[in-house]
Amino acid sequence: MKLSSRITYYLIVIVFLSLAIGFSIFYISIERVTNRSAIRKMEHLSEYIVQQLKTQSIDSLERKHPTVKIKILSKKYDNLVDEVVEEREEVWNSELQSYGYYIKVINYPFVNNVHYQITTEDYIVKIEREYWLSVLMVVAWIFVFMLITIVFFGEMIARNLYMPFYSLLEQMKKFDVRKGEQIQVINTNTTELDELNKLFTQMADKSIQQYKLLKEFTENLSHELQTPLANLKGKIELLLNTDLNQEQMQTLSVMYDELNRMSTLNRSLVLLMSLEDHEVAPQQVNFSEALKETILQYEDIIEMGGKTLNVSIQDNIYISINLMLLQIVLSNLINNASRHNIENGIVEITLTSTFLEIKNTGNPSNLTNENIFNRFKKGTSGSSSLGIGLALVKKIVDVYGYKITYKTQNNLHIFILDINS
Amino acid sequence: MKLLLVEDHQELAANMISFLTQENYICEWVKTVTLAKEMLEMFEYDVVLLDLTLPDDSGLTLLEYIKQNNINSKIIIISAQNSLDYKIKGLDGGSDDYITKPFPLPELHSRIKAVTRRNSANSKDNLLVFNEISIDLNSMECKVNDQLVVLTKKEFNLMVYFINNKNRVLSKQAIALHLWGDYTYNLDNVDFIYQHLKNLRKKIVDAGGTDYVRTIYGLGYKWAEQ
Repeated sequence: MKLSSRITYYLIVIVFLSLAIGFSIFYISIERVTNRSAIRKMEHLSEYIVQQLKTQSIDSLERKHPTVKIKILSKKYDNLVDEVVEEREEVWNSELQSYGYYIKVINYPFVNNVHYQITTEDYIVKIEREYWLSVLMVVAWIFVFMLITIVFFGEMIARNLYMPFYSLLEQMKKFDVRKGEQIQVINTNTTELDELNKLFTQMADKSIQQYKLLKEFTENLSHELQTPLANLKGKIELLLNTDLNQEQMQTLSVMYDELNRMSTLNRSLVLLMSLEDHEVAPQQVNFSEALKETILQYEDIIEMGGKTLNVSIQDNIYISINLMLLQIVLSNLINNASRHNIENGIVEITLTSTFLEIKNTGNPSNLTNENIFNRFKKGTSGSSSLGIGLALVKKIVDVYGYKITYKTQNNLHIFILDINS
Repeated sequence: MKLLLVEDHQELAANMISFLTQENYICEWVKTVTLAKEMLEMFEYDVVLLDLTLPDDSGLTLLEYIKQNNINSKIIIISAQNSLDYKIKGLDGGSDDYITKPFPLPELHSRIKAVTRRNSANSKDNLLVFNEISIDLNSMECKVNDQLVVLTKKEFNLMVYFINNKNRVLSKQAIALHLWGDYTYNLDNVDFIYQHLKNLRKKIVDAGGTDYVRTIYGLGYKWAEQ
């Protein structure tokens, strides 16, 4: 739910509740006020009667005020002095021919040492239930009106107020540390939004800066490593052709192997880094031909290990990619299928107009589509592979907007490159 | 054969010079594009080995200069820049070959031989002879005691590489790099070259030739007379 709709929603609930409670309070207080004013009037009348009793007779007073009954009490009721108020609802009044609210007020005044009982009664006609319903309807209409106002103005205000917030959100979504584009904020007069803007701008700048540093470091490191590595390899090669004994030869050979691994790794890292800001200049490449050529290179390696190679390639499939990068993708995938295989295993390569599938037999592993393309993620086979090939494959495929997935099925490892873009 | 090496890294240059001198090349070395231009104006070279990242200018400028002035030298670009664009630019710009650092020194030797032989009018240049073995690089034919031996493409390349680098220890990696080129860099195990080598040796011996290949345990092989 959007922030503005959420606020509108809460406002509506609050308005509804306040109107409901307000209406109840209104209803109860009207009733109370009516009762109180009636009682007050009757008390007033009693007081008047008390005054009049001094000069007039009971009969004449009763005749003048039909709602009043006056009685003289005997001695035994002397302790009755407090005023009694009796209220009864829904009492039939034959005079008015309707139900009314019956109120009786009894006073016990002493006038000239005579104890009187003055009873005043009255019926008040209250607003009937159906009329309350129309009052409720008025309230309901007010509610509807407020609802429309809240929804309309609320949305408008929210849109204006939160506009910088949404704009920031949108930019954060698109934010790519590799592009190094700064975040454009909209200035507001709202403290929190300004703070948020400031915070995000700072964070974005910082991560761009950190990323640049890291990238520069990796690039420099890889580039600077290349020359000394080449130098070391050259020196060992020269040394190998001098007079050495078997043991020295072997030591040098191990050193040479390790250096080779290092320079291969370094090379891949450089390539991986350069792909980070590789400008996609795709060319239409004959995928079928490139695949056939790569298979030709690996055919002997695959078959030498007693493995069976099954190939099914549809001719003249073109995709848009850089040819050299495509060769890297293919050789990595095919080599991978050959390397992580079992004895007398199978490698199956299928190319159709929509996908490339490379399937190979192999030992079960705990690798998944999510982690297999990570750098230096290795299977359980404990092979000496460098663990960067698939990361490179993924990167290249991503750069050119294709999709590669991995799955395992009955001890078959399957890579599918979706070229249908 | 005269070579001009344009490379700014002292140690790397020293390695190459030391190796190439052993192979009887006359090798001259400059560090900058400016100096290289001066040398090219004064002398003639068969091959220019050109690094791309030089202190004063890009090696590509020198490549352009050589092409514009119709200097008749073959050019091999040697560069640490394995960025793809450079490779394409270099080959488009008219270089004859491109080799990426780090590379095995025998590979460099083999590349030099290949570019100098290419388009050579002299048919003798296309014939590689080692005792009873003779190889025709044009028709890709191999003869042992004048008897034709049918070799696969890889076996053929392997033998050429061996004879070009005779009496030299060739590591398995160097051999693999030569045979599989760029595909080698993601191979962590290059033992599979053994199979090709075994077939090659068998074919030569079956044709009555001598097995000149010596195994250097743990390292690689050497083509040498006993």
